[in-house]
Amino acid sequence: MFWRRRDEHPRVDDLSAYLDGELRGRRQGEVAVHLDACEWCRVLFEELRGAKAALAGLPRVGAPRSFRLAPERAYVPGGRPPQRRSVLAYAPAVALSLFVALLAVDLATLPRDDAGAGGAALSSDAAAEKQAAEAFRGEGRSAADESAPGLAITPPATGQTRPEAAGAPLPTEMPAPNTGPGPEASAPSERAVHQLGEEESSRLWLRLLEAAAGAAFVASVFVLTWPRIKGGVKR
Amino acid sequence: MLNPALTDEAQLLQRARRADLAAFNELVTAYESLVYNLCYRLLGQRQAAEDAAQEAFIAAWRGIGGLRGDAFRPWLLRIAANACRDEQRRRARRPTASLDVALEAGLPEPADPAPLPEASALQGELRWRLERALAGLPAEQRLALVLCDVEGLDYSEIATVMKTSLGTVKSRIARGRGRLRQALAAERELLPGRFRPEE
Repeated sequence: MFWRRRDEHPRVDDLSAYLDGELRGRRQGEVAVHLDACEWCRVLFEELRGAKAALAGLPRVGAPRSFRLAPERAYVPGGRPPQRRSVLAYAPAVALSLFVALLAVDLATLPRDDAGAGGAALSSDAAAEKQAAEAFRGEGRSAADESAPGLAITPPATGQTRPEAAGAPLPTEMPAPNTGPGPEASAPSERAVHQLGEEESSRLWLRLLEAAAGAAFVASVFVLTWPRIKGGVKR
Repeated sequence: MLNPALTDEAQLLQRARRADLAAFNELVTAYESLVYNLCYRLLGQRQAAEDAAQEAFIAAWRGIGGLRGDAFRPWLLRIAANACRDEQRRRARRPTASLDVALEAGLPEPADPAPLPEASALQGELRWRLERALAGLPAEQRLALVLCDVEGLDYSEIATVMKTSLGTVKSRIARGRGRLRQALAAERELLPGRFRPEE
């Protein structure tokens, strides 16, 4: 006779749904039985019914004019059927996909470079800087060049002893292209620098493309949302 | 036997999807009263409702190619509800006219100067108080309640319009109705007998 327990009333949600005929099965029967027995819920139910009836009694307001679309309102500038999406609508998705793909390539190539440096925790930029400094010092390091990949880093200890051992004629801090080391000594270093330059160059291009894709994404989102923002402000 | 009106609507919809403006305008004629009435009940102001209804039909035309299935009515009502939300935001941003100030304050227009074309069961002050109470509800509750009690949609269709679950619809309607009940309880003596709760 009562809702689950003797002292428990149906929730307002259930009373309201019962009023709309939206309660089904056992629940509907339970609410009906409870309403017969509970004065308090019956008053609440009748008030809900009064609110529903009052809303339903509001007059229907007829359209003051026709909303049929004239051709000039129906077609967007350019004369294309409006429901076909402009190519520009896909630009953010394309730019974002490109950005993610380039970033993935960039990140995928980074660990391999670091591993090539003998597990040293140096970035490729730091490695390149050190390699270039070595090359400018004019040291013949053909053995090192042959055994190590382009971004290999010589151990610091070796680097510290080299100025004395090599006996270079110029101060180590002064890179002087005209008075550099002899051709037989410089060739391997130049090759290393050249290799390094290619690596750096391709990575630079990659980063530039990433930046371009990111900028294209931001710009296309802006272009697509601007009319709405502008319309919202100016209308 | 198939309902000829529904068959007509399906055919019109199919043609409208192929950018047939004449077919789409037939759908506009069939639904403009429903859409305008919904906009008016959500915004409480005639000019705002007119603007929102027009925007809704333009948006519907532009997006009809993306409509899947034949559930045109809930789809159109969702667009209309969104247009009302946009219209309300627009008007709140530039509260220059006195009507806009009233709208921003959540108040509907006071009693209409000219009588409405349709006969009204509720007149005068009571109707104004009811509309004011409706305007004071949170937007989601107001939409659910208007779709249910004014437009007569069932919970399932309301859930489609509002893109939410049946449980949420049930809860929003109950809460909105509960708040209206409280507002009307204070006006009990104004209620005609058939709207008055039993003693």
